[in-house]
Amino acid sequence: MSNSELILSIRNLTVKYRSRRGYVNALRNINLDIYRNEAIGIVGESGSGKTTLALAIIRQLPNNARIVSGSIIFYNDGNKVDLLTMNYNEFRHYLWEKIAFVPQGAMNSLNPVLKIRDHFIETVKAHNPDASKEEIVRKAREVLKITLLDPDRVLNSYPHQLSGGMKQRVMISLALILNPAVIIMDEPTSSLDVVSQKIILQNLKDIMRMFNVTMIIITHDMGVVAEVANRVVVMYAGKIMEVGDVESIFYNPLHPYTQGLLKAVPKLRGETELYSIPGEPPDLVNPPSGCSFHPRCPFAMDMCTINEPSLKEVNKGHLVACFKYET
Amino acid sequence: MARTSLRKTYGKALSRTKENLIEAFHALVEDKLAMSGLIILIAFVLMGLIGPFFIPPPTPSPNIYAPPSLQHPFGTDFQGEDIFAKIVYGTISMLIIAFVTGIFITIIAVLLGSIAGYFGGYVDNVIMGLADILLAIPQLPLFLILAVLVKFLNIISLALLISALSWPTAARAFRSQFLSLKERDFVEASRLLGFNSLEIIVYDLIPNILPYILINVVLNAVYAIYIVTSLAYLGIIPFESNNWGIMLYQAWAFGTIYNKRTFMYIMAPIGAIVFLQLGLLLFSRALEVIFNPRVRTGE
Amino acid sequence: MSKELIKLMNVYVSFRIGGLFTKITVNVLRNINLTIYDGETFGLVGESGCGKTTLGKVIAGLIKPTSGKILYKGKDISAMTKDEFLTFRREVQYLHQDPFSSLNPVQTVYTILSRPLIKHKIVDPSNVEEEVMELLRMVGLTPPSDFMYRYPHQLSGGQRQRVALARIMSVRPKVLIADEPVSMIDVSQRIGILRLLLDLRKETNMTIIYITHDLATLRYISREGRVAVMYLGGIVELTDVERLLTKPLHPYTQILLSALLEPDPNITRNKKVNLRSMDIPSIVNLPPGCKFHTRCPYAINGICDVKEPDLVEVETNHYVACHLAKGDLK
Repeated sequence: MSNSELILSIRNLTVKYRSRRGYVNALRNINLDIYRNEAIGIVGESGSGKTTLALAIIRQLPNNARIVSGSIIFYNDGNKVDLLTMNYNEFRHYLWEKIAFVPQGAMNSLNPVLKIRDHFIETVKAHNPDASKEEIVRKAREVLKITLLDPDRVLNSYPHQLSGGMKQRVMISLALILNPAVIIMDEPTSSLDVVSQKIILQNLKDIMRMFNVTMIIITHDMGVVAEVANRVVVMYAGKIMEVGDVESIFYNPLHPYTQGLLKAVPKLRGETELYSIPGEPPDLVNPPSGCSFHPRCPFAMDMCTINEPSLKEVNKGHLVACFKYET
Repeated sequence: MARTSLRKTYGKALSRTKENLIEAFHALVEDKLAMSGLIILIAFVLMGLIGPFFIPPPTPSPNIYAPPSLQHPFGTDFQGEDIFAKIVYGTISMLIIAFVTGIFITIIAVLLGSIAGYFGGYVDNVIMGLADILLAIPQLPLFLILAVLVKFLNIISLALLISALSWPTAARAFRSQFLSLKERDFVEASRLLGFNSLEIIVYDLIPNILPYILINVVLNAVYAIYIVTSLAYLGIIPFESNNWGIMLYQAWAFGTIYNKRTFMYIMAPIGAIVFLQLGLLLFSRALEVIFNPRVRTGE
Repeated sequence: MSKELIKLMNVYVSFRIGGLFTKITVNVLRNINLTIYDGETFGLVGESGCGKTTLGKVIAGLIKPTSGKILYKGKDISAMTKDEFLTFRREVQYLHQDPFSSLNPVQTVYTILSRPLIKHKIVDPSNVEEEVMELLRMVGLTPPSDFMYRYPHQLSGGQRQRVALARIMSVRPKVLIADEPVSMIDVSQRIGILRLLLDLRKETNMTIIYITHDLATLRYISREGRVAVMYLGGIVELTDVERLLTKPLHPYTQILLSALLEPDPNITRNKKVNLRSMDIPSIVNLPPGCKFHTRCPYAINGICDVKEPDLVEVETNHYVACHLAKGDLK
C-alpha cells in the first residue's frame, strides 16, 4: 500500500464461545494490520467469524465469549494502546469518538420514540456534555447532507417516518458525527433494496475521502466488496485465508476457497457455467484437523489434513494461508 | 402386511425416541436446579403414596399441644393428633387436586387459546371477551359466594369449579403463542400441502408449545394449591380433615403462633406448602430442559 | 411455447391497514395480466416492496385477489369445487425464502417428509420409509439415513432448503413458485440449490416461477426464459432474460441493472446510478401517472405524471409500460 500508516493491528486473536456442545472456535489466531484511510472488506460466510472480529474490536462480545489470547493495538495520534487490556471506562470514550460501529440491520437500532434530531443530540452529549444543541444540529446537518439526506425533513422525523434506506443512512451519519478514525460496518446494505444499496455504497467512497476515515466493511457479498473495498480479507471457519488488495483478490485469487467463492457467484454476463464448492460449512465445535478447508478443497494434499498452514506473503501485500504456495 | 411395515417404520422412530430420552436425561442431570425440583416432587409423591403404610393415621389422644419429640417430630395438635402424620395423610389429596386442576385449566386454556389465536376475528373476540369478564371478577370472594350456592362433594368437583373460573390467564398466554406461531412459514407450507386447520393446530402448532403446555400444568398446579389452601383456611372445604390449609386455620385459630412449644404446629403445614410449591416450580424448569430440542442438544 | 397453464386477468390486491378510525387502503398489486405456459421457467424480478412475493402468493392461491381472476388450466380458482381446489393446492407449490422458518422446528426430517405422503396416500403405507429415502436422495441429501431423524436446527441453511424442496416434491407438483430460494443461504451452497432446481425441472418437467431481486441467479437457472420486472405493484417490462439484460427498454429496468453489484471491481465500479430521486415513493401514497416518474431521469412533465402507461408490445415478445419506449407520445 502506498499510504501505510498503521491504525489497527490485531495479533494472535483467539476467541471462543461457550455452548452446551462445547467451545465454539469463533476466531483462531487472527493476525491483521489495518492502515489509515483504507476501506477494508472482510468477507466470509456465516460462521466465518467476521462479526465476532468486529465485536472483539469494539469489545461488545456476548457474555459467553472468551478472548483466549491476543491483542488489538490501536494507533492513536502517535500513541499505541491495546484496546483489549485498557480500562473499560477509558475504552468507552474510544467507542464512537475513535471507533464507530454500525451494526447489522442498524436501522432497527434507532429509538422509535426519539426524533432523528434527538438521536444526534444524545449521541454527542454522551461524549461531550458541554456541546451546545445548536452546534450539534449544525454538525448533524452537515453529515446528513453527506449521506444524501435532506436535513430539514430528516431531523424532525421519527424513525418510522423514514424508509429503510434512509434509516441506514441516518445510522451512518450518526457514526460520522464524532469524527471517528475508524468506522466498522456489519453488512451495511444487506437489508436494503438493490438501488439504495448501490447508492449508499457509492456514497461511502465519498465519505471516506471527505472524513479521512478508515472503513471496515463486513459482508458476505462479493459484490459489495468489489464495489467499495481497496483491500479484502477472506475468512473461513474463524481463520483468515487470504488478504490482498481488491484487484489481486478478484483477478488473481490464490486460496482455493476464494477461487471457489468467486466461481460460485452467478454473473450477469459471460458464461453461465458455475462451480459449486462441495460439502458443508465446518462444525466450529469440532473443526477439521489441519487446514479447516481441506474437506471441501479440490487440491487437498495429505499434509493439509495434518498441519495448519499459516498466512504467508506470496506476492507483495498478498497473503495466503495454503500449502499450495509453500514449496 | 401394512401393520408389519408400520412397525418397521415407527420402530426406527421409537428407537430414536429412546435416544432422545437418554439425551434428555443427561441434560436433566446437568441442570442441578431442575434435578432438585424433580427430587422434591418425587419425595412428596412417595410421602403421599407409601407414607401411610409406615406412619399410623393421626388419632386423637390426651397428649395435646405436645412439643416436637422423637415420637411426634412436629408435636401434636389441639386434639392430641400427630402433626407429622396429618401432613403425610394430607399429601396425596393435595397432589391430586393440584394436578387435576392444573390439567383441567390447561386443557380449557389450550383449547380456547388455540381457537382464538388461530382463527382470530369474531371467535377471538367472543373468547377473549369472556376471559376479560372472568379476569375482572376477584377470585377468592367469588369462591366464597359459590361455596354457599354449590355443595363441594369431593376433590374432583372442586377442581372442576376452580378450572372453569381460572383458565383466562393461561388462555391469553396460549393465544399469543398461537398468534405468533401461525405466522411462521411452516404453517403456510402445511396449508399448501393440503392440511386443514385442525391438522395444522394439532400436528404443527401444539407440538411447538408442548413444553409450555406442560409447564402450564405445573404452574396451574401451583395456583390450585394456593386456592385450595386459601379456601380450606377460610373453612369452606369441610370434607378434608387432614388438609394443610385446615391445619393452618386451626393452628392460627388456637393461637399456636404465640407459643414456642407449639411453633411447629403452624410451621409444618407452611413448610409442606412452600416445599411442594418450590418443587413444582423447579420441576417446570426440568420440563423445559426435557422438551425443548434446542436446549436439549445444546445448540 | 406450449399451452397456457396459469392466467392472471386484471388482478388487483389491496390491503386495509391502520387503526380503528384511520384505515387506509394500500394497493399492493395493480392490474396484473400475465400468462404462464406449461413447462416454462418464468422470472419475477423487483426490489423489496414491489409486490413480487404477493404476486407469487396470489398465484399459489394463498392470497385472494381483491378483484380479477386467476385461471389454472382454464378454471377460475375462486370458482373451483373443494376437490378441484385441493388438486390445485397440491399441484401449485411455494418454496419459501427462509428455510429457518419454513420447517417445523420440533419435527424430524422424517416426520416432515412422511406427513404429506401419508395424508395424500401418495405411496402405499408400507413404502413410506423408502419414499422418504428416495426424496432425500432426489434432493442430494445422501446417505438418507444420515438425515432422516435430524431436526431442522441440526442442518445447515442449504440442507434445510433441500428438505423444504423434498417436502414439495413429495406431492408431485406441476408448478413450483420459488421465492428468493437462495438469498438466505451461504454463497458456497447457493449453486448447489440452483443446480438442484434445474435437475428437478429436467426430471419432472415442472413449471417454475422464480421470484428474485437478483437477475444473476435468474439468468443462471433460466437464460432463455421470460421475465417480468415489477415496480410498486405493477409490471413495467416483460421479455426474455437475455434480452432484458442486453437491451432493457424501461428506465427502471436500466437503473436496476446499473445498480446490481457484480463480483468484478472494474465492472461494478464503472456502473453509475442516475436517478432524479433516490427514495422509492411510499406504497401507501402512490404518485399519480407513471409510478416511476418521481425518480425517472427521462420523465416528461405533463405526460408521465398524469397518465399511467399500459404494458404494450414494442417489439416481438418485448412488453414495456413506458410512454417513452416507443417514441410516440400520445
